Amino acid sequence: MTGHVRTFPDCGTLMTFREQPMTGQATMASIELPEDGRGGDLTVLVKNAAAGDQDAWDALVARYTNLLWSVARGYRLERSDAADVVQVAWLRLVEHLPKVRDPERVGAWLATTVRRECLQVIARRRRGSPVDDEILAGIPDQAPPVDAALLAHEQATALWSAFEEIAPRCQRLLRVLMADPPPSYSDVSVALEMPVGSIGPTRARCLDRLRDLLDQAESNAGGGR
Amino acid sequence: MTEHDALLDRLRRAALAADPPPPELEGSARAAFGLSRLDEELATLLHDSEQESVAVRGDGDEPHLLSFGSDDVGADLEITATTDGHEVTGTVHGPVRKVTVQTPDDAHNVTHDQHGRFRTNGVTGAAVRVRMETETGVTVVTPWVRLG
Repeated sequence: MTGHVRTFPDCGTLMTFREQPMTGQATMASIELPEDGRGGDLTVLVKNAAAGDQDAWDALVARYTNLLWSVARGYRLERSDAADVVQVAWLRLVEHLPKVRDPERVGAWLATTVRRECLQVIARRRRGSPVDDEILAGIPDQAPPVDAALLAHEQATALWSAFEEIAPRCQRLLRVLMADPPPSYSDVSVALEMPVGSIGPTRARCLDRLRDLLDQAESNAGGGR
Repeated sequence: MTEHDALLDRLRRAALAADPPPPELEGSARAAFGLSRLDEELATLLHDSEQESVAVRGDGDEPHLLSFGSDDVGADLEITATTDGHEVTGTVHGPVRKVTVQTPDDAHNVTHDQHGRFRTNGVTGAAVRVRMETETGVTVVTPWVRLG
C-alpha cells in the first residue's frame, strides 16, 4: 500500500497536501520503507516540547536535522546557505509549536519549510524569478556538492562521482533518501512534493542508473585505459 | 537487503563522511528553543516583497520589504545586504515602548524616534526578527525573516 496519505490539517496554507491516488503503477515492485514506527514517541515529543521541555526539543533536533540538511543539499544549496535554511526551519517550528495539531507530521512540516526556503534562496540567487521544481530539474549543478577528499576509499569516491552524474531529479530524491535516520516515504513525499506512490519506482530507476554508471566506471578502470 | 538497499546504504555512509551537516548546526537548532517565550505574541506577516509576482520584482540586490501586524502594534521592515551583514531599518506602529532587533545569537537594542523609525547595521546570522514591548507590558515578536 503506497497510496497512504494523511491530511495535514495543522499546516494551513503553508502546505497544500493533496490526496494522491496511486498513479503510474510500475511493473517492478515498489520498495517501500516502513511508515515511521515511532509515531507515538513523536506525539509525546512534540507535546512536551510545546510545553517547554528542552530535552524533547533536542530529541526532535537529533532526529530531523540530518534529513533537513539532506533536503537543502538535495536542492544544491551551498553549505552555508543550507545551514541557514535548516536553522530557520527550526526557528519557525518553535513559533509553530503551539499550533501543531498533527505531531506525527512534524518532520514533513519541517522538510517542507526547508524546501520553501531553498526555493526562495535559489530565486534570490538567480536574480529575482520565482523557481519551481520543474525549472530546478533542468538546471545544472551550481554548487560543489561535497568534499570528495573526505571520502576515504576509492570506491566511495567512485560512488560519489557516479552519483553526481545522474539526473538532478534523481540526485535530489536519493540525497533525501540518504538522510540518517532514513526518512519515511510520507515525509519524503511532502518534502519533495512527489506522490508517495512514485517514490519507490523512481528510487529504483535512479539506483539502476547509478549502478550502470558504477559498472561502466569499473569496467573502464578494469580495462586499464 | 536488496541490491538497491545496499547501494543506498553505501550512499548514506558516503554522505555522512563527505557531506555531513556542519557540527554547529545541531547546537544552533537546540538553541532555537530558548529564543521563544510563552508570553510573547507572534505578529502576523501582512506583506513580503519576496512573495510578489515576477512583474513587480527587481533583482536580488533590492531591499527585502516586510510588514507585520498584531492587535495592538505593527512593524514595517526594510532589510538590505551591506558589506558587513545587513542593515535593518523600520517603522513601528502603535504603543511601542522598546524595540529590539534580534538574531539567533545577538540582540540589537534600538531607539525609535517619534515617528517610530529605527535603524541598525551589521546584523548577521541566519535570520532576524523584531521584538516590540508595548506600553501595556505585552511583548510582540515578528516571525523570523531569513537573511541572505
